[in-house]
Amino acid sequence: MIGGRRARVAAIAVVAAAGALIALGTGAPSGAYWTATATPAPTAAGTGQWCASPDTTVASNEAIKLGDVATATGTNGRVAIIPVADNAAWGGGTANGVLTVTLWSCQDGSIVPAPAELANTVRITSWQYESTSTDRAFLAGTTSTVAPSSRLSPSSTLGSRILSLAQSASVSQLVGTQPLSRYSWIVAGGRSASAPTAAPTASCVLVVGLVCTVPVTNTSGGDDAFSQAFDTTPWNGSTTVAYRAATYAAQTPTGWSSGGGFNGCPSLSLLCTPTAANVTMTATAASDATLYASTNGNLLQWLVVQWNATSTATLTDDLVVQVSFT
Amino acid sequence: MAITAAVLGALLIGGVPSYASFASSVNGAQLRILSGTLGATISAPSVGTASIATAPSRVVVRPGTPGMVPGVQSQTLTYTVTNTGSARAPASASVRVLSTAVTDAAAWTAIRPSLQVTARIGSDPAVAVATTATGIDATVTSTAAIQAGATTPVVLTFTLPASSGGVDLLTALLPSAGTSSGLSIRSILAMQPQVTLTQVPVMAP
Repeated sequence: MIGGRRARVAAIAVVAAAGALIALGTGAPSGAYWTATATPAPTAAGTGQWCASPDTTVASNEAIKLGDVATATGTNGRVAIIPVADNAAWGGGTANGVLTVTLWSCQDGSIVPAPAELANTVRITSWQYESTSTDRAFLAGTTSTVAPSSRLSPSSTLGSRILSLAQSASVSQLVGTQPLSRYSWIVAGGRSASAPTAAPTASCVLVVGLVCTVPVTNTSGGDDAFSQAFDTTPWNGSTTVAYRAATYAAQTPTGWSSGGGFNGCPSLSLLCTPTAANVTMTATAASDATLYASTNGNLLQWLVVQWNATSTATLTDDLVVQVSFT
Repeated sequence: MAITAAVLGALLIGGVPSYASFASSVNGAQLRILSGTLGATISAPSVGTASIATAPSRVVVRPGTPGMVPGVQSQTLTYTVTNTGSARAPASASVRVLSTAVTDAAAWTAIRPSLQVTARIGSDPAVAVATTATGIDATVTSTAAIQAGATTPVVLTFTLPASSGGVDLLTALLPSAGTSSGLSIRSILAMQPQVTLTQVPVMAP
């Protein structure tokens, strides 16, 4: 019957249309869903290129900005005299180590701030007490700590004597005097970034006794103490130079020689060339008072950081002096 | 028969359908309804950076350098995901944030305690992604629908702070510091995320 067949076709069409309109319904559909996955080629993730010097604003840091060496010693001269011990305040106290100063910079080549000659006028030395000196008497009762933040005034009795030695062109050791036995060179005596381990020549002659003269000079002329290898164009190079303190002073297991002897030279030598040795600091938990009273150069050293220029220099924050025990 | 067909149609409209295709036994004919096809593509990433803060005065950053600089810039990998399906197949995305290799084991060990990794799909908020000793393998999902033919970004961000646990990362992570071999870019991970698009349920009109 034509009418009946037409009705069946219509019903099927209704069902089919309803089915086409419903892909999935509400509630919790069940059954299969289309998924598709894609993966790209691998790509690297990592760190970029930068240069950095230590953050000297950290209170416990043993790093000092060269620009913070601000006590004037004359026209355009600056100095800091700092007590150093291998103790907790200096980030040590657990193992013996050679007194080391690391210079950091992110400058291109030599130190850039004017004047340019600042590059070779940085001098860092360290000094030990004379055993019979009364200079340190003023330290009795001091509340100063043996720590990176402490400074000895260069106008104090001890400070003026240390500064006088540190600013001299050379030190000579005569019988009965002990300046040379107190002297350690770090960034001095002709050392430079390209020759960080050089030892100044000790010229010795027999006079009344053995007399040796050792230069206490800046870095070599035309060279500088900071890294010379770092370039920003092209981006390449290192940023640190480490200098280990050395001395001609005779060191014994119990302390530096109170007689002012030279290392490798008996005190009554007719002629002798002293031998340089590293300044090995002894790890200590001694109190500040004990350290200040000690004449043992392996327990306490007075670090002198100084720079000079022909005009006022503006030093950038990346020029940093960092003390450690290596 | 017409009444039966109409009832069947009504049940389909008001019930809980589950299949992408169904068959009607009316007159033995078979009807198949398809909800559409689904496909996905993902581009190679655009490698970029996001600024965190101005570099301190003791720091010099090479202009235009890619990669993380602690406390100064993050590294971003931005992928474009496309739904290449037919008109009836909108989809949501899930991303398996996956590293296929640690290419610098020493650097990974050094940075991992401080590293922050996030993943963001489209306009969703960025989600933190955990790291392991062997790399990264975590999944982030989104419920936002991506229409057929449309794209959505997937952004992975890698960030290091300037310091962590009292350690100055700007000096501690200096590559080759103190040596003469230069301060170079360090590739630490090989990233190869996997994106999965899943069909989104469509309400019946």
